[in-house]
Amino acid sequence: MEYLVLLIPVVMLIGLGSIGRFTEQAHLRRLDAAEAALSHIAVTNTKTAPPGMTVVSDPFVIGEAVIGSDYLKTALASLRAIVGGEIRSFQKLLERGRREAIVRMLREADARGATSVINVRVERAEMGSAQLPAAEIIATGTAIR
Amino acid sequence: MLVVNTETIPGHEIVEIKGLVQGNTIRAKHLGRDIGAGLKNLVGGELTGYTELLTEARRQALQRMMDQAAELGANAVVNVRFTTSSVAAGAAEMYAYGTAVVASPAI
Repeated sequence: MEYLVLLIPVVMLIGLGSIGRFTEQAHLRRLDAAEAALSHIAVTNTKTAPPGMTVVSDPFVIGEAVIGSDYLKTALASLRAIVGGEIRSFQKLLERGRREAIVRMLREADARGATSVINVRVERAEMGSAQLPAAEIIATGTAIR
Repeated sequence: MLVVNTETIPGHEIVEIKGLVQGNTIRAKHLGRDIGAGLKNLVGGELTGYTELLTEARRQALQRMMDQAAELGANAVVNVRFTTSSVAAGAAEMYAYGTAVVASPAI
């Protein structure tokens, strides 16, 4: 009977982890929709603009996102570290952070009437904010039309 | 002030280079945000408080960089880059730098 008490943290971890998984899938669906809605903006990471194009009035567009891990993801990652190999839970986490930051940057560009964003840079911003693993991403670009 | 992260400004001509300009800020996160993030970390997802922190820090660093450029008599900053570094536990620096220039629309 006493052993059942030991199960409580495990059940909580899995329960909270499933909520995390659910919100992650919802987030990825939101990103798919947002990217489709912004697909009219051409994005490049090259520095040059096609001839005849000019910068919009406030051309420096930026997007930031900090996406935190959950305890289940973190626990799975430490298990993975025993045997080695790809840590899918963190791969998804960083993907969400990058895509979210890029989408926010593109929304700014869209609001300023840009048809293209050039020289896009996506970096990890190491603000060291979260105790648990988190994807802290900053995306920058130059909006032109 | 025209700010871009490209070396040239599409549709503009750089007529004069004023030199390197920079701005930084060091932010300490506060306890309330930590508690909020701790709770959010139970299920994962966006840590809104920290995203705001990042945005505020970035705006401040850029503003300081632009003020410096204005002092030099520039009307644009090109090739802007951000760098972050952790100074101490719970304190991080956001640093923005670029080249201040005088630009005029290409004819």
